[in-house]
Amino acid sequence: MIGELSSAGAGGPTIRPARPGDYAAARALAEVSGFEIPSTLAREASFAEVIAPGGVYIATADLPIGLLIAQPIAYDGDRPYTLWIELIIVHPSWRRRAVGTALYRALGGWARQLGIHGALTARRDEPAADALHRRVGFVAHRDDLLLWRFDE
Amino acid sequence: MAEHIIGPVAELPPGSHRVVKVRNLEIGIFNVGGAFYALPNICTHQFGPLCAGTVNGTTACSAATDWRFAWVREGEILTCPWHGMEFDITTGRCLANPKVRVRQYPIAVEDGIVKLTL
Ligand code: FES
Repeated sequence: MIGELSSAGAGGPTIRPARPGDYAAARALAEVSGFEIPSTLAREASFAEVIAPGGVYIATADLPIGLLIAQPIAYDGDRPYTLWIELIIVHPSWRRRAVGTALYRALGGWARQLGIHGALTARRDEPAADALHRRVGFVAHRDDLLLWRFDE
Repeated sequence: MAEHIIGPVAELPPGSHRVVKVRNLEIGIFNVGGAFYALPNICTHQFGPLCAGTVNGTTACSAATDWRFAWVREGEILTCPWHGMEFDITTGRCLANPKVRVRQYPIAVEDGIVKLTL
C-alpha cells in the first residue's frame, strides 16, 4: 500500500499509518507541541474511530514525533471522497526537518490510490503552516480554506 | 469525538438552518420537520459552501408521480449555491449521483438544547 511505510529522508523518521496503540504517544505529542487537545485525541475509543478510515499518519523516530489526522467529510460508496485535515503536529525539536511534508506525502499517496477527490483545511495565520501547505500543493479556497486536489 | 452545544431548540424551528463553526470546520445544522441533521459546509462537486444554499424540494418523474413532473420533498433538499447540485439533507446523498454523499454528524436534542457530536 502506498504510504504504508516511508521515510522523511536519510536518517529521518519513518512515516506509517497510525495504530490504536499509538493513542497515548499521539496525545503526549499534542501536549508537548503546545496544541489544545482536540476531541479526536480526548479518549482512546475516539482515537480508534478516527484512525479506522485510514487517513491518519504518524512519524516515528523511536518515539512518535509527528501526527497528521485527516477525516472523511464525504464518501463515494464506502470510500472517503473528500478529506478534512483536522490536525498536523510535529514535535518542537523536529521542526524544519520536512516531517510535515513527509506526513502529507504519505497521505497524498494513500488518497490518490483510493481516488479521493481533495483535502481541505482551515487557513491559519502562521507562516510556517502556510509555507508547509503551499509546498505540499494546497491553494487558497473560498474565504478561509486551503484546498489540495488529488484529481489534477 | 466530543459533544458541542449548538443552542436552544427554539432558535432552530422546523424549516430553518444555520451554519456553525466547530473546531474550524463549518457545519450546516438543519431542522427538517422537527428532525435535526448536521452536514459539512463543503460540497462534493467543487468544494463550494453547500450549506449556504437554499432548502427546498425537487422535481421527480416516476410511477409514483404518474410519469408527470411533480414537485416533491419540499423542505428536504439542499441546493448548492455554486452550481446547483442537489443533496438530500436526511441522508447526505447527492440526487444526481446517490453513491456520493456528504458525511452526517450525530446531532440530538437534550433538555431543549441541540447538541452536535464531532
Ligand atoms: S460546488 Fe456545489 S454544485 Fe459545484
